[in-house]
Amino acid sequence: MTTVRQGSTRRPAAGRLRRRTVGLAEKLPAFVVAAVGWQIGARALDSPFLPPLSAIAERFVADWFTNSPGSAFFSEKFVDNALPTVGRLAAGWAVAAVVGVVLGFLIALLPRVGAATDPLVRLGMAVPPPALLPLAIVLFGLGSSMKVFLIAFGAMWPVLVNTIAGVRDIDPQIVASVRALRIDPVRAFFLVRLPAASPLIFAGLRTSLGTALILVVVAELYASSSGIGFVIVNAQRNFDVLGTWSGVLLLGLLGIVVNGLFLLVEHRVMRWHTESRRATQ
Amino acid sequence: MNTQAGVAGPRPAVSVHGLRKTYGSGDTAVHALADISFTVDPGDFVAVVGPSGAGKTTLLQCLSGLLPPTAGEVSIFGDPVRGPMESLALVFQDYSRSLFPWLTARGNVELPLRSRGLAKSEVDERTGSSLAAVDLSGHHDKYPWQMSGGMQQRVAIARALALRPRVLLMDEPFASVDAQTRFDLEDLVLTVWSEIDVTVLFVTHDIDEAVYLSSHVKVLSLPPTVVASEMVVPLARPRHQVTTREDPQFGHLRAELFRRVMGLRAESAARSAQDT
Repeated sequence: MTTVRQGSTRRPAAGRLRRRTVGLAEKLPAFVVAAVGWQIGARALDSPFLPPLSAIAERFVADWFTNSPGSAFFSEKFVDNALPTVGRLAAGWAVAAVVGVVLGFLIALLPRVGAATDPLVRLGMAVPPPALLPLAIVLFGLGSSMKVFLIAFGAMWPVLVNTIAGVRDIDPQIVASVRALRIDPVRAFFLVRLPAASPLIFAGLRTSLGTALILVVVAELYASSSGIGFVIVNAQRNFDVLGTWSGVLLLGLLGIVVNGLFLLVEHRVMRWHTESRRATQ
Repeated sequence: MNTQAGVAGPRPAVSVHGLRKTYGSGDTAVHALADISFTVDPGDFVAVVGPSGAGKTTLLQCLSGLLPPTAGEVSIFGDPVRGPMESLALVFQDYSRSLFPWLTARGNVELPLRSRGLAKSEVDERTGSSLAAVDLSGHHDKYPWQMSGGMQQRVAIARALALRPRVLLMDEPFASVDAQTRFDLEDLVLTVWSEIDVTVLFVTHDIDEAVYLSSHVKVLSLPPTVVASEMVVPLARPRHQVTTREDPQFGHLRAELFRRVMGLRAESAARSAQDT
């Protein structure tokens, strides 16, 4: 891998790093201004529903972290609620990814299936996924499988639609090469068509990750006895305003971490794509 | 692989008989190839030239089995072509679109070999030797986007050679590299051709290149395409970028071929003027 990093791309890499640090220097002031503004505004308003940031931060640390040596850094509340949320998110999104990619390939490669299922895909995409929550409860009860189903169903559409587009957009020259070189169907799928369609598939996966995050929270808000969503709604029911804010903040940070991890993987896997595009420009 | 080779006299490496290709039907039909017949002897280096718009690429796709002809037959060493053949390998014009950018040079060369279920040692041996044949021994782990255009086309040539084809079809392979690289690649192909037992059919729009490389030239007409004429290139081998090109005979052949190709264009212009 180190040999790959060297060579013709050393200078652009340095440029990227510089851009990123410049970006951070540009973004930090806005963040600080917002935080200070909130703090001053909340103190001035003195509303019980809009607590100052310092109180939220204090509660946030107390809720989710601990110093007790037995429980590695995170509090019991974190383990009991954040981990189930992450688990449901990961399971639902993984199912969405696999089903979306497989169905997408079938639809894209079999023109008659594509024509026949087109109205279904449009309908499925048009249904706002949270609307399926009551149905999911009837079908799967209140447990985690209901949440995984809801996330998988809602998050599948961006993957499906992007996979169809990605496969249909594969350069005909690539397809001709596969035929001329007589590459066997299994390798043609995993080593040619899948990577060739992957730039758009990854775009779909990125969108669906956002959808999945929304859906896990919706499901936990309305029908759960654990999870960050449950913590938020439970705090609200007990007039614990700081508790709701602390949960919302954790969700925001979870979103950042999850998206960050995804971008990290995407950057690695899609390196050939960004570099090829750079080379042809 | 080539167990039935050499029986019953010299069979043509490539035999094309009454090849016709029509796109569409009725009034809107486009007659790309009208009636093409020719043969290529085993071990020959044949260039196919024609004015731009002649069905060069269509012809090549029919020869390689990627496109079914409307009528006529193509055979490779006597075996009729019904689809992509094991005995034939194709090098496309646009290396940037025919190589797989997510695979290294090695990965690109290996993929078709592994598709054939060859033993790992055999795959390694063929990959190593074909990359060595195109002077890319030290570049196995480079990705296409880390290479120059000339290197990428050499990977594409190595990928074709690793399949040990008896016939190599090349579709304007050097059309998108710079002039200097082009000379290097021309000599590379000539060296490879002289060292291994392969018949080359080289499609190009470049008249100099056709004369420099080949022993025989087929001149295609504008569509509906036929073989308008054939020419023998009796220049001595091995050829050399300087001495071959300064040979007066090279100039005569080049001029003659130029006249024929340009004549076809003038003829077609006169014909369309007459029609209107």
